[in-house]
Amino acid sequence: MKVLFILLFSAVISGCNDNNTADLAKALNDNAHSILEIKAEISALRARIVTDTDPKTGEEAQFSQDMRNLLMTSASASIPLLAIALLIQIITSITHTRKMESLLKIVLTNSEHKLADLGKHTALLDHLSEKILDLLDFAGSALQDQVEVNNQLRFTKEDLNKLDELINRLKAGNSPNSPLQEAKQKDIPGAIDSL
Amino acid sequence: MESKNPRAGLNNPVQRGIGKAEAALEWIYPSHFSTTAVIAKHLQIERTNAGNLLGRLVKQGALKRVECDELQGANLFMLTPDGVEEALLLGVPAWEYDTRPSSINHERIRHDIGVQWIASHTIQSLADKGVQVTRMEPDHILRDGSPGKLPDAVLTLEGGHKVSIEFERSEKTGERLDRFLASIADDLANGSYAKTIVASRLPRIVKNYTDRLNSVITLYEKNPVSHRWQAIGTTTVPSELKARISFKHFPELGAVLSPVTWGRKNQKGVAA
Repeated sequence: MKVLFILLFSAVISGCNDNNTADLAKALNDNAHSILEIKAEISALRARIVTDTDPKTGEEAQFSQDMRNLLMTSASASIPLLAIALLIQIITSITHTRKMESLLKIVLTNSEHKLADLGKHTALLDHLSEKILDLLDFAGSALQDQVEVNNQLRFTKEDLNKLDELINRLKAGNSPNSPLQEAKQKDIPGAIDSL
Repeated sequence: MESKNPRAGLNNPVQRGIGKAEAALEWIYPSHFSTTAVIAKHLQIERTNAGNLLGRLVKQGALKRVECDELQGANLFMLTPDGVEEALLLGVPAWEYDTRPSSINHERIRHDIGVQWIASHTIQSLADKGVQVTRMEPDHILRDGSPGKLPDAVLTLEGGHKVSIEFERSEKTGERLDRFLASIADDLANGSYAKTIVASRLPRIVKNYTDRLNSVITLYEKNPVSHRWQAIGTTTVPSELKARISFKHFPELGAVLSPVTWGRKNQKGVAA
């Protein structure tokens, strides 16, 4: 699956240029450490997703099941496409879920293996902004493999800048003083209830 | 999208002025157009100051005045192409902003201004509790690529929670009301929104909608052949969902929508 992801991810990214491959590979290598850090953080997040169970039934939450079914067990080509779509979404805007929904529909319509049931899970899409980090595992692994194996992944400078931004955003989100962590400490549900 | 001017603590008045101007542009861009009253509400400044601010932006070429027969003659303000560029430079999410005054649907002006005021009020209520709204999306932005039933506006809070807003100018009854309430309950049940605010100027709407929500409502489905709605059963909305629907009566909207009748002298609040 990782190989598929790498191939498709490479194909999707525009602006590929053989001439700057060496520079880009170097830049990618420079980012390798950060990518590994992301992987560790994502593993922790994944553990949290897995433990996201329904307190009444004790069953795993529907979202986790869906994610696992979509991303882990299915070997169809749709999965990397889905991952790419979501990755692009993270890079552009984390919160615009409707835009992401549209993007997903386009991607899935064009894929050979349509995930027809995905349209039913609008709630799933709304939760993705937080859970989406799971998908970065694929990207992180793919990049790591490329760095270690042959440095053939052709990223443009712009792509790497976006990746840097993504890494920084992720790091900022996990630091104790980050706006994201502060938001988690606030009583947001309480404020919503009071409306 | 912060309700209070984020640069209010700045000592330099020039910087404060720039901050207000930027906040006004950031508000008008997704809203398409706005009025002095709404901007005054959003920035939490006096109406006179809001008028001066918008007047300056008109002189600078970022905004243009659009006359309209609605709102008892209050001016609308919309962005010029320059203003759109300025707003985009401030980092607002892009949409297909039409700078032509003819792109304003005059049948919806009162509705849209009401929605803006309610959104602004909600943003302030949340800000008072330390929660910031990161994004306000009216229905014309939400409609992109989503053909189904949409709320009048959606507020995205920090942390990703979403609050939907419905503004009711006239009262729905019978089948329409049941379909309306059922769709709100559906959206809440499937997790699309954390809360829905249904607001109106009319206290009767708040009372009747609340009563209806607490009774048995009829479910409807569109017949794929005749395209008519047909009853398919009845249901009661679970109490946990009812708790997430808030019906609000806002008499202050009178000063915004009918400034001459209800504005300056007769009611509290600001005139357009």
